[in-house]
Amino acid sequence: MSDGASVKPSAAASRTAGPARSGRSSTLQWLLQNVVWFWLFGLVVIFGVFNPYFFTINNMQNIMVQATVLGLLALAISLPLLVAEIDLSIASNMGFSSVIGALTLNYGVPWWGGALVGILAGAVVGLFNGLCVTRLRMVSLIETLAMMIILQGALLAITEGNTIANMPDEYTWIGQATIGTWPIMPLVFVVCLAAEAIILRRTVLGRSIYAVGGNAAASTAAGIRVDRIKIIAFVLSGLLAGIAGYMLAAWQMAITSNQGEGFLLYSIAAPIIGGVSVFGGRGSVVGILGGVLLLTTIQAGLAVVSFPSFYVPMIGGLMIFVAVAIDAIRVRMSAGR
Amino acid sequence: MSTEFFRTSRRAFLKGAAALAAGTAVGSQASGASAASKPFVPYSNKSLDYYFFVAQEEAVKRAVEAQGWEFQAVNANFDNTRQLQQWQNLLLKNPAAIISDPIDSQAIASAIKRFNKKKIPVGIIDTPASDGGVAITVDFDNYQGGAMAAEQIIKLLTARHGSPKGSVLNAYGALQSVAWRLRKEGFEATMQKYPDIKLYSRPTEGMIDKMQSVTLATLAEVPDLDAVHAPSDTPSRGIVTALQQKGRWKKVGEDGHAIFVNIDGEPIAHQWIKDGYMDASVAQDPIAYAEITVEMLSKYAMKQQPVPTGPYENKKYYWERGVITDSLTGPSLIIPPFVINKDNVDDKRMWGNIAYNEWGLKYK
Repeated sequence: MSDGASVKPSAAASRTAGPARSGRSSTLQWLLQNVVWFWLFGLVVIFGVFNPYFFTINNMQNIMVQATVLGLLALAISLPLLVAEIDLSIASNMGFSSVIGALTLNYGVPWWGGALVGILAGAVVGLFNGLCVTRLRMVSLIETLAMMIILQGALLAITEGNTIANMPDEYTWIGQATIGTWPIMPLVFVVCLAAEAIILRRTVLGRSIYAVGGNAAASTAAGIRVDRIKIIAFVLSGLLAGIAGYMLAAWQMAITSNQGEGFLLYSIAAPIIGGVSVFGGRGSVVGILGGVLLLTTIQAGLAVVSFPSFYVPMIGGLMIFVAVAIDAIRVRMSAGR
Repeated sequence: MSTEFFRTSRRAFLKGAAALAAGTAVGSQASGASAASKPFVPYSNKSLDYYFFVAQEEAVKRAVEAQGWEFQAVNANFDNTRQLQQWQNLLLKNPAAIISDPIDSQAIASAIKRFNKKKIPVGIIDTPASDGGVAITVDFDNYQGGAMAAEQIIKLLTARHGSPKGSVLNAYGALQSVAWRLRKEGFEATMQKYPDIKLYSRPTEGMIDKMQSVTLATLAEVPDLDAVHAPSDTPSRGIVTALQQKGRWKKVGEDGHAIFVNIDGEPIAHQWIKDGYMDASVAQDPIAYAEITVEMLSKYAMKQQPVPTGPYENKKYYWERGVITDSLTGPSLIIPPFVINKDNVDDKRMWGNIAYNEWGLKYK
């Protein structure tokens, strides 16, 4: 699937590439699909003007680390979005699954077992969401909203407001380890990014995901088991949330009683900025990567330039707004072609 | 829109990028020169949503700039991960020191250790860290603050009923907040020593609307409620509105007065005390947090010397005396909580009076 590509109902299960490109229209298409990268480049230059440290290798490493958790969550939330659903419990699932994993360590489970249990707990929550949405026909927006509140409450109840910090070094190793000065943690994001790209572009499952999101009725007619595809999307999404939870716990070396709550809106915004449609069936991991890097750059950049702190959230919001507006223009122009 | 637009835009974009790149080179040199001339000491704030935190940031800013250092503040808005990321970002600016009010005592430890590796002094205020090397911690005993608020109410209940008995609403704040949780624990542990006091301990998340609805609900259940306590002054405006709506916003000594004791000592509490509606507020001192931290960083930590432990005395502050002790993270000054009431509310050393009257930090 090409960047920002979608699957139209008439070709739901068979198309694997965007429309043929030629001449000016392909240039226009290319510009439209890559606008997030121009916006990102512009911001990097602007932040660099304000602060020379922004161009350093250290800062690049810093942004990569900070993009890891948001990136994993953005990948997670993109899967329900691609099948025309939404999962608002992703960020809460991240916190909840990480505490489940950490707690198992108290029962003599080795560090890798704890990490695995936590990640699987995330997948189980995803499975439950998927079953509720498909079997019980619950509206995903409301069902996952309820799940978000449940998981937030569960995390608070489990921790009783305390922070869990007594995790063994092996458990938090991946969040702290470096090769030279390069942190290892972003590799996890890169691997997950590549895995999701392969699934979406090279497998029947990926094509089915686009098809279901593009037109569920047409997909059913084409023989795709829509409910099964949606459940798989939710499970993979929960799995990624579990991985994100483990990464965040390993990096912070702590799990707070409201772990992850601040990620929700950004993790939804990142894939949408990167071209994933909220109506399903359109988007790519390259675009998601662009959205993630853009949001991370905005946050990292605003922290190192000396704006008065009262105005920083507003400026950050305005930048995101501009990014979304540019994306909307892109979508509108693509549709009008 | 035609493709001509994009051709034009592309040219314009390339021109703009070239101009910015040129500006970057100039800007880099200018910033580098500026950074070299002044020690950079940023402040990582937990929030700007409450007057207390705004005053605290202003106090750090004034203290840092009074030293001739370069100041910058970042606000994590109660998002712990964001605060850790901001610390990481600030590390790239190679600061001479960092001052912070951590959101979470334990989670901040990983960030502190990263600063320790680079030998950059860390000053912690308001919420102590539980691990890592901290040059100086200046904070408040939140548990003791809650206990003192309870003791004030118990004293007033005893005066009202002849013995410590009656009904008390504790409109406690979000349990995710270390400070509010400790205040709740201190308040309740003290109250539980008095079996004739019926305690209604109810969650409000520290939000005005929830404080209001919880107080209204409790007053409906217990119309003759004796006392109300909130762990912070700003959100307790909801309690005030509820008392007004139920005809219980009476002055001290009037029939139907609800004993009202909070924690923080903000200017609004001063006003309620002066007007006679509030009995007392247990105060901490964010201005002292900032000034003493900067003082210790300047005198010792930034000269690679440890902050000495022992008595600390400064008549500039209402509480005047404290003791710097060794804590798990290093030298620590826990400023003793003190009670603001009608007898001392006008003392010019109260942080609320300094912030509101001298600095002009008005409630918006």
